[in-house]
Amino acid sequence: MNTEETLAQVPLFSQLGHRDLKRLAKGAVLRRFEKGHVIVKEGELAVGFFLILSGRVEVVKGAEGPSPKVLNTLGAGDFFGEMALLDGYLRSTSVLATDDTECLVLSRWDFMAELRSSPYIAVQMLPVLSRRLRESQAQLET
Amino acid sequence: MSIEDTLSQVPLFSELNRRALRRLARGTVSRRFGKGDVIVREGEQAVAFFFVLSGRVEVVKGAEGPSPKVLNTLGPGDFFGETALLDSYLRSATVRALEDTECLELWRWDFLYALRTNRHIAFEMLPVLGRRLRETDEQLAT
Repeated sequence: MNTEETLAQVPLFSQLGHRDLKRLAKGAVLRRFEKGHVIVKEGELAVGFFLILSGRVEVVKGAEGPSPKVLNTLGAGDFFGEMALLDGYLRSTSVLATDDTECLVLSRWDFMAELRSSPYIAVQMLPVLSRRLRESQAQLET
Repeated sequence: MSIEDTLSQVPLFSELNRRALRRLARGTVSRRFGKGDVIVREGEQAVAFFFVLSGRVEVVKGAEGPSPKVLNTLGPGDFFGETALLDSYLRSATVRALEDTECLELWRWDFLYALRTNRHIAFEMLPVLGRRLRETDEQLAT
């Protein structure tokens, strides 16, 4: 599966056409992480979106504490942090490479720069977010 | 208070600059409702956002059924239906005027038209929606 096809799976990008996905992919950088390396740390400011191209990572809560808990493992084609493209927040978990791992990383500023030059991408994302917000709010009410 | 000032109170529009607010304001209409008038009906397609300028309305579940339940009453400064601007859904409650009421109304297609003619509106709304989605999801997780 190529990068654009993988990006199309990200809910936030689900309404984007091929050309816009290509544009976003162009703004991303390739990063390599060695086995054991911390990719993002719990508590730090989230600044970007990560798409795993190869390797394996663990999503860990309390990685630096007395009883770390592995919440999930991710591999090629998985991704995390898409909400960091819209707004900064503190990472709620650490992500650690359990194998040598290659990721495509899109930072918020590069993402926003792409949006400024193609505002239609922003327009297409709004309904996705709005629907998810409404669904989450409805869940809260039940 | 100008329409722009009124709109700037809505969280969804909180990041918009003066020019963007003016563009949105141009798409609004002022609607008067008499006591007892139905403003929106439960079960119908949501197509507009309403901001109460004066008067009082009640939000009722099962208004046409055997045991209607008043969920809320809204007055000047309150608003409802922002998510109707981005995405269609069925109204989950009926909103009815309790007294002579004036509302500012913005329809989805007028809002979308404003988005197309002012490239910043969508761009500025993304972080607001992203933040609200994240906060709602965090609330759900606890």
